[in-house]
Amino acid sequence: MINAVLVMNTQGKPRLTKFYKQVPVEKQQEIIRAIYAVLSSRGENYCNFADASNISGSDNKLVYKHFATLYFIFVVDGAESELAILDLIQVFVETLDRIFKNVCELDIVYNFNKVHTVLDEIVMGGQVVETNSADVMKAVQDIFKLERAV
Amino acid sequence: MGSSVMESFFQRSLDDLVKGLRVQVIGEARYVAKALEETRKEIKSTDLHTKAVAVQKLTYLHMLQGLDISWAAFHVVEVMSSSKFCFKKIGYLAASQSFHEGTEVLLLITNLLRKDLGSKNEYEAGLALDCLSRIATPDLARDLTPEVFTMLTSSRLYVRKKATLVLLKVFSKYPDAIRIAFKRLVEKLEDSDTQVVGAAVTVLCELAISDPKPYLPLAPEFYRLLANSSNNWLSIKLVKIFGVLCPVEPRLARKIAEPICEQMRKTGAKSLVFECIRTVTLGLSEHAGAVELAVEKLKEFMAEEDPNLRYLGLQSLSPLMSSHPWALTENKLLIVRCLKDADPSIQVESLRLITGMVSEDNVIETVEILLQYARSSEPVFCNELISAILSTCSKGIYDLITDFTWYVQVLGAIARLPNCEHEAEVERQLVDIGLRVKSVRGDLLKVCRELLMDPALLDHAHLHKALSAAAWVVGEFAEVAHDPFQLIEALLQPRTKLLPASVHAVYLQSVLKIFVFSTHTWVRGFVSTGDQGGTAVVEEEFEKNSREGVKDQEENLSGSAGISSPVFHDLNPNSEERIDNRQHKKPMVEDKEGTCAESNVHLATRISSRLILEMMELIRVNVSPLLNSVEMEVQERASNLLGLLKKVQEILGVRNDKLHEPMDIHTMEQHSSTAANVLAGIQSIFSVEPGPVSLLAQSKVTVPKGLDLVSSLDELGHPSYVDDDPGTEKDWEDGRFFLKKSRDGSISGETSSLLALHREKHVTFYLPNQAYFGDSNDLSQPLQEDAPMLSDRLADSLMLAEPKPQGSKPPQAKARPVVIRLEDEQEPFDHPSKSRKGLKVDILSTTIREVLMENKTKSWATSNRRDARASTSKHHRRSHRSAKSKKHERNEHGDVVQALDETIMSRDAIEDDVNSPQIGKAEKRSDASSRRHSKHSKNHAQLTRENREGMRYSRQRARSPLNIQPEVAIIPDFLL
Repeated sequence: MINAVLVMNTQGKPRLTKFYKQVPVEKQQEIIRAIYAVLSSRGENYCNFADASNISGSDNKLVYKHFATLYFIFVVDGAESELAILDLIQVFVETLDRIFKNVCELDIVYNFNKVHTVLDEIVMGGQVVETNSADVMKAVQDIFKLERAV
Repeated sequence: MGSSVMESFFQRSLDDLVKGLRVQVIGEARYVAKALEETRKEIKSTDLHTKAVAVQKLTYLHMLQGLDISWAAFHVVEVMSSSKFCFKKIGYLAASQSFHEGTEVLLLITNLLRKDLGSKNEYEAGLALDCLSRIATPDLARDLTPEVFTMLTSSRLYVRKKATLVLLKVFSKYPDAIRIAFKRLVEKLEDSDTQVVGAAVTVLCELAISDPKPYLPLAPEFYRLLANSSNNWLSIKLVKIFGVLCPVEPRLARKIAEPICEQMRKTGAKSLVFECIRTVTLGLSEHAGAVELAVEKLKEFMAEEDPNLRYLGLQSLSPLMSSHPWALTENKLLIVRCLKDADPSIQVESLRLITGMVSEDNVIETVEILLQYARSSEPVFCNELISAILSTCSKGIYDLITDFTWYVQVLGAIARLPNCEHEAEVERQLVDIGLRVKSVRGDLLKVCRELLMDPALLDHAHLHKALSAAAWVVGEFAEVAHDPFQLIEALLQPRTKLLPASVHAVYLQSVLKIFVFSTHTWVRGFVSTGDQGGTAVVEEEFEKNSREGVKDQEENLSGSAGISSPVFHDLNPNSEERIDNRQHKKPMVEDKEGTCAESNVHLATRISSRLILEMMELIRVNVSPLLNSVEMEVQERASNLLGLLKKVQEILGVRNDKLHEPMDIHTMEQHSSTAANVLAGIQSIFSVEPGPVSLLAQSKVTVPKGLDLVSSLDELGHPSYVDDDPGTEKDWEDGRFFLKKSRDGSISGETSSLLALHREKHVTFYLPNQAYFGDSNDLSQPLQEDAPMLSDRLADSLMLAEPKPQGSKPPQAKARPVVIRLEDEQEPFDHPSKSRKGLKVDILSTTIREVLMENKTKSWATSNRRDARASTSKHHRRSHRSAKSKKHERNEHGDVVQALDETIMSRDAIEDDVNSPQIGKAEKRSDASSRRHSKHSKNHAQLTRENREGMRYSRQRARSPLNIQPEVAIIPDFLL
């Protein structure tokens, strides 16, 4: 299961956090800081996985990708395939890219609700619901249309 | 920004908030507090738009600043229940981000969710489903199960796939929902749309990982899906499911090995290949072909440029470590290469594999490699390497080490590594090896001497612990030292003042030991030569040898020994005798003396009177300043040492001012026999050899008679509150209390008299009277009684492990030297436990098992009827065949295939009978008993089938509770 999805910048400022297991707010902040501590110590040519058993529970792993100024981080347990999650991050970022036309950190800062919408179409309750970027796009566009239609 | 009037008209939007946060100059915390204050007002607004924006801002602050917004929960619900989609969405996002089990308003949203789940708009339904998947409570899950159940058959794909996924949460919160919805979930495996199938597989995969057994019956379905799957994500999940199913059902593993290999061969997706590899390593490790293919693929992974693949490749090799060691050795080069990978996590993985590969044969080679990497690695990984070396080599009781000479050198090298942080472990092992491996003491001493002699090492605080161990070793095992003078020089070098007090004290204590030992050896040699009346000759010999010896030790060593040894053997017949004694395994102390006597022969040749004098002078000059040390421990040791030195000098008539006059030496020698007695006494104290102590040593001590360890201490109460002394009250009144009590004990005063009173009352818990109040001799009395007994025991247990007498040096790197191992010694390091974690019986899987069984019972009922009919037939073959399930009976395979299947089945039946406690239902009984029938038909030929069934039935009733599901038979024969 995916326990959490985080987007944070390279300074450690969270830009989006979504916890699929219920975690008290203070603990969430603690986890975010711990994850940043791990990621900031890792070099560019390291692998995209890091052990998170001390951060959020046994057999948990961070699967992350670094794009420009942002880290996209999935905290997953043993039931997920690390490589598949990496692909999923790619799908997530690609979809954001399509929606914001060359997504950058500011897009995510100012449109956190839209980013949530995209993520909700990909992951639901900690399980992957859709892996096809085009299908995600379609649902997200429909939802945006509904939101505007008032 | 605008005036306060303007603000009330124009609410700040989320964008404003974000912008403000980015440019604020008053500090983030203050800005957030201000924004929060603003929002508190806005959220009370009757205008839904204002309220929604306020909720949205709160969600933002909650998410990124970790703000508690539970106070706004009710407003969130208000926004959620708006009919406008844009507001509703804001509300739902806020709810799913901030609500938790303890949120009270959750009680209010059941109807809202119900309404939205049933919405005509699929995205509204989607919002509700998504929210439910995150905040479901048992109540919500229970109340909304019917809605979710209906949605599973929705005509809209979007709703169907989300409803399928939400089942996972519903099941986990409300297991009874399984009875209603599980069947439909399984039906979703055949859904027309792959997304829904994917969702169903995802849910089943998650469930199967927590407890695989109940899902075995679905194996054929999963198999079919895997064979037809073109979606990688789906395939990965399916392969994962097989990874957990196979270990619990070996027959399934046999069937699935080939299809998994097929996937591995044909797919181009690394993620799927990797998942297949993982499944093979976890569940199919008995299938040679599959493992070979997996290892081949792993090799490709590890040679890849992509660090991800290297990391995962290394990780999935580790399950093969115990079952297929060849998989690791074959890839050893690749693995070792990863030790210098840029990524520390890859380094650590590779180190883990390498230490797992270490065996007696390759330990030296491997440790040398690791040591080499440790010299060039970053501090963190360097310490990982050191820790790996230390724990691997000391595993068990140094089980892997045959060449201890090499290993103590490794320890010395580790101590010198500039980044070493494991000095405490090095310290422990240096001492431990010294105690346990007698034959290596000479080499150990050499290593320690080198550590001690290097003045540069004293600068490094991290080395102090190792130095402390080294100092202790040279002191304790001084009898194997070739050059006590050098050791004392090293221990007293000026830079030792850099040491912490505790270590410095060890240094001084070792100086004392070495000094006593060498002086004693010298004096004894002298006395024995004196007895023979050959003083002058031998003394000259001493002088000559020793002067050369000190100048050029290594070179002269063999020469001087050659000259003087025969002289000594002639002059001191005792030493011969003692060596003999040693070979007959005398108790510890005598044994030690024997060793001393033997080494005296070597050493005495090099200890001259002049040397002893120089040693005394060295100690006096260097230790005297330490009398003023501020550290008590150092000061005390120094004064002990100097006190002894003075005493010895007095006896020998040495005067410090006339040290270099030859006359002095002669006086000294005249008094040597007196000195010999004194020194022998002290030496005998030091020569009691400490040994390793077993963790269970305490249990060997028998409880002395009369010592009551069992009675409860509760009744003791506190001595100050003696409640029921009949005389107390009156005594208090009369003021005679103290008078009365002070007669019993010699101590007076309130507390002590109360204590005495207490003592009188609970006499069993106190030591005998004279021991308690009497003088120190009395105190030690009862202990002394036991003392010989205890030491005997200890000696006994040590003797059991006494090393066999060997030559003075062990043959290099051949037979493993004897390592003292106490009979009941346990390994100090835990091996990773091999047992899998026990399957926890949770409600969820029990329910699922029940649901699945309901489905199956129908078909089994049919087959049972057939069984019953068939069993009346006396024809063995017929009854045997009928015992198979319906499907099997129908199948028109040739006899050969069936025979094969039958052998498999009957073997399994026996295994089941032995292993499985979970037998009990009628299906299983008939099935198993008929299989048993095929195996033992001859023995039971005269019994009717019904009788046997009856017997088994009653036996199983007695053995296991009813109503537990069969473990194996639930797999349809399609796969078997």
